[in-house]
Amino acid sequence: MNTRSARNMSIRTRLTLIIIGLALGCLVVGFAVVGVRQIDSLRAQRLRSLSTLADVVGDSSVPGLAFADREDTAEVLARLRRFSDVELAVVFDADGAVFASYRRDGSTIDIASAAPLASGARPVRAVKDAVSVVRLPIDYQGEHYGTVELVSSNAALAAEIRALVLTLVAIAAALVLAAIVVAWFLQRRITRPILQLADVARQITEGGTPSLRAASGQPGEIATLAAGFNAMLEELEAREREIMRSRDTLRAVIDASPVAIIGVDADRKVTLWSVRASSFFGTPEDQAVGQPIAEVARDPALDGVWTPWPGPVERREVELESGRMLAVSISSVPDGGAVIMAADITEERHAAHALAERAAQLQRAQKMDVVGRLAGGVAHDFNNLLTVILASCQMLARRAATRPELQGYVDNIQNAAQRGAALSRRLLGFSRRQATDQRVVDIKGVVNDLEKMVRAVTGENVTIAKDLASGPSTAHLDQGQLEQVLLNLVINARDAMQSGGVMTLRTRLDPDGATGPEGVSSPTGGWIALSVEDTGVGMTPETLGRLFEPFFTTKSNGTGLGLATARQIVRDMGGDITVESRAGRGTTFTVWLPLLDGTADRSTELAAVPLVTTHDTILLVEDEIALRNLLQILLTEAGYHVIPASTSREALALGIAPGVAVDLLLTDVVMPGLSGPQLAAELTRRRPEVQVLYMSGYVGDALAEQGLDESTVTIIPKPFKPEQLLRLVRDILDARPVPRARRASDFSFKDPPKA
Amino acid sequence: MAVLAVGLGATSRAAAAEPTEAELKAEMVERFTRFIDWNPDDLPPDELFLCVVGESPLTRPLEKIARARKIKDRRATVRVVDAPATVDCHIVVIGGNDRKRLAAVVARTEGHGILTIADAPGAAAAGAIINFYLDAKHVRFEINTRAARDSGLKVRAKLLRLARVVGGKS
Repeated sequence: MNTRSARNMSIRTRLTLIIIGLALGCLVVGFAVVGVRQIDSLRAQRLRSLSTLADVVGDSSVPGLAFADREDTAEVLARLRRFSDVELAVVFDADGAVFASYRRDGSTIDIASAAPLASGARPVRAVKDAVSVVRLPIDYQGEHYGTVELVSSNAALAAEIRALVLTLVAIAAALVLAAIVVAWFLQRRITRPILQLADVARQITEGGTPSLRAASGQPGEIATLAAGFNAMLEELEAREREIMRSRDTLRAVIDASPVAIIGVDADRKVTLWSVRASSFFGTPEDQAVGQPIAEVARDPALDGVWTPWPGPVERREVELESGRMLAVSISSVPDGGAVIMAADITEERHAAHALAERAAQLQRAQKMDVVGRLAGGVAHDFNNLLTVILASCQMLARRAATRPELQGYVDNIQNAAQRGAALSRRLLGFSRRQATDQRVVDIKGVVNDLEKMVRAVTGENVTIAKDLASGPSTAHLDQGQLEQVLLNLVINARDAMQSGGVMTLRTRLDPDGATGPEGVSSPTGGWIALSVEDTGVGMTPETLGRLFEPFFTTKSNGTGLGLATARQIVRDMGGDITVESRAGRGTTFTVWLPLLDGTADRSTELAAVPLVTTHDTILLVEDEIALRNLLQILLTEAGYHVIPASTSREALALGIAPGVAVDLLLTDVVMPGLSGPQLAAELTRRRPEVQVLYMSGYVGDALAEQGLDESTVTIIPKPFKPEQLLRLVRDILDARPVPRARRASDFSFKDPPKA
Repeated sequence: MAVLAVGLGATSRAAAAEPTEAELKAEMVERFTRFIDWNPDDLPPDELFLCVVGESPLTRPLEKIARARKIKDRRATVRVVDAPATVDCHIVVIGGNDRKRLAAVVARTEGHGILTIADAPGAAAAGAIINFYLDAKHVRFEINTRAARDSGLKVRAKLLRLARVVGGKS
């Protein structure tokens, strides 16, 4: 048998074969030695017996030979008849002649022709094939008488040898049989515990509990093996526990990761599917594992080709059907598979988008701020001039009442000035520096008023529709500004419907603030949404995106300030303008305005009371000489005593001069040297009874910069009409405590920044 | 006879002729000594006196043998003596059939360690230790074992096997 098949044999077979082989080998060698020795011994014994016999025969032949008595010797030889295996006996005399002989009856062996031996010669003892031959010299008392030769058949010897061999073979066979039995029991004893161990190992391999233990059995090597095996199992179990714990930990880490982790084998089948992957792709782990990644992830980007290990990590971005954005990285692993990690970057993308939006907004705001400052600066001076013009015009009109031919000129001047004022107001409104005139306004009333205006500005091919929601509709705002905004939208709608269409004016209530514009906190009273809808040409997304940018216009004669200003105004009101448009279908602008919460504050409504002239003293501070002169005339005509001053220093000196009792300080806000509020502070510190009325072409931030809080002081915005000023002056003076007691807190102001 | 001649030829080959009866008997005398032992006192270690009493054909062959080789490993001397002189002999061959001479020799030698050899019928019974006789032409001999014992001679069984024993056991 060759080495390979020997290796493949079981221990049992090998053990048995080894024992049998060893036993057989020992027996063969041993028995061969024994057999050969025994056979040799038998032959030697045979020869010894034959020699003894020959010696006796020779000795017995001595008298016959000595006295030539052949009969005597023949008698001696005849006695050999009793030795059945002696075939032939010959006695030679000293001369070598045959003296006497004997032949067994029926023997076929011839008398040997060998030469007789000399006296004292070495005896011949030989075993031939069929016979044994012994030849001895016959010596007696130092005399040589002849030679005796005995020839014996080996049949008996052969039979003896045969019997010996048979016995040996039989014993050997019995021993081999015993060896086989012993070997079988031995191998059974050795291999049974081994097979039991193997059985335990097999059970564990087939998923049996690792807590299985091999029976230790009887002490000895097998018990040592079993103990070692059990120790190995203990270690195995401990390691398995450790592996399980590591696996659980790893799995927990994988599942805790915000990144979806997916393992894919070389066949692109899923081997690992984290909890996050389940939530990202909507497939539970038990349905994902073992499936092709292409089917489970349903995205070709995840099933793409990846560079074999150790290639670079593939990075892709995937947008799922659910809208979720994923940053996917695919790292190949040595076995041909890959580990896919997918991070949810939806929020980041949205945040980045929002950030970009904010940056754009900031940019727009900065642009508008610059424009606003420019416009504000111009408008300030412009307002002063317009105030002069308007006031002059009004006074001129009174004077020219008797001159009808001049009336037309006055009207022209007045109209032009009014338009200039409107333009100035728009510029300032855009720059948020316009003085506002906020009141409680009924939006529906505004819309009803607007409708008339709309009909005036649109052609006959445009149908006007109106849809007003019932319920509260009051808001606190500057009606003029709102009208300006709405008019702007209406004109845009008209322009979008050159070939006719339907324009709908609609109000809608959103008391919960659920549908309000994004980025604006919902007001407590909810929204009123005022829509201007047209069925015109609509806008492209590009146009829509830049709609509210200053100086962006699609009209050949547009300023590009309309919608920018409109949105700014509405935002100042606490609302916003949103727009929806589809090219070819039409556009809907919606003005979101906060509804007034609870009862309307109507205190700001000016009572139409007749002006009562008193002779109060007014300290007028205005650096613009034309305006100062005009106001002096106006107030003087109204019956006030006016102390004019061109600078704040002068005014302070005049105001605190002995014997002068100033009732009202009418001052510009922004002035060289002491500002209006500073002047007022200085004056009221010394003369607490003095009331203060500010005039300003600015509102809001510009005033705040000067340390003024619009909510605690009274400001009349420039340009104003003479009656507006007179009304306000009258109101302030009438409202003061009688007699002349003043509360400084009513006119509190903040110190201007030291810088 | 022929058989005997062949059988003894080994020692008489030099004669080259057919041995005579006397020569055979002389040779046999020598052979007798090989199977008979004397007391050491009765036989000197190097000398053996062989005496012939009376007229005997064996004298010459005996002398021939004694010249040719040792007898009983001793130098042998053959003498022809009278009956009274036999006392000094070791072997006495009595020739002839003379009763008186035989009785005289026996009387002298009896009990003295002397081998007496006769060649006459009834000689053994008459006191000779060995006596030749013929049996169907074969020369044979008889031995008086009592005489031998009385003479202190020890006759070996091998010789007795070939001899006719006379005198019984006493």
